[in-house]
Amino acid sequence: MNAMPLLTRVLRALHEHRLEAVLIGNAAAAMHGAPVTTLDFDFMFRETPTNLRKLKSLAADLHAMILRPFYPVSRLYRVVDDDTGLQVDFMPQIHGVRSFEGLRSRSAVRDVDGLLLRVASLDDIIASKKAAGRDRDKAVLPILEKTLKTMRKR
Amino acid sequence: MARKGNRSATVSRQRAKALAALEAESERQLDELIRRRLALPLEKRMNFLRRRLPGGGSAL
Repeated sequence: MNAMPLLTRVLRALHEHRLEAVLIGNAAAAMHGAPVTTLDFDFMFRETPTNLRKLKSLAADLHAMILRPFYPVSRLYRVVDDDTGLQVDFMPQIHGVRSFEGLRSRSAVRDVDGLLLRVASLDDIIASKKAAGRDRDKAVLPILEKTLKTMRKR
Repeated sequence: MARKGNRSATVSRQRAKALAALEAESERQLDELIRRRLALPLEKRMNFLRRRLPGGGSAL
C-alpha cells in the first residue's frame, strides 16, 4: 500500500514535537529506489530524557501507544496503533552504525508532502543489515547492493 | 554402458545450461526493475508498505 499517508502523519508529528530522527531500514531503502517492502518505519534517534518526553507526546498525538517489545535486551521504542496499522520503531542504537551524528551527516534530505525527512544513506542501511546479520536482513542485501551499484553508475 | 554415461553427461550439461540461463534472466529482470524504480520520482516509489492480515501474513 501507499506509505505516503502514514509517513506524512508521522513526519508531521516529528516536526511538531521537534523530535530529530533519521529514517533507516527497508522504508529508507525503498525511498532510495530499492525494490523492497516493509511492515513498519524505523528511525534512529538520540535517547535523551527530552527526546523520550517528545516521543511520548508524539505517540499521544498519533493516538498510538509505546511498547518496549524487547526490553531489557534492546532499547527499541515501538509506537503502535493497531486501528491504522501504524508501526514506527525508534532506535537509539543500530548495528553497524557508530553514532546518530554520523548517520545524520551522511543522510539525504527528502521532501515528503512539503515536510523534510532525513533518509539514511544506502551505504549505512547496507552496513546495518550486514552487521545485524538476521536472515531477513541477509535476504535483501543482494538487492540493496545491486541498487547501490546502479545508483553509482547513473 | 558408455552410451548411458554419455547420455547422463549430456542431460547434466543441458540442465546446467538451462539453470545458468534462468539465473542470468532473473538477474537481468532485477537490474531492469531497479533501473525503473530509480527513474521514478519519490512520490511514485512509495508503494512499499505491507499491511498485516488478520489471519497472519501480510500484503502490499
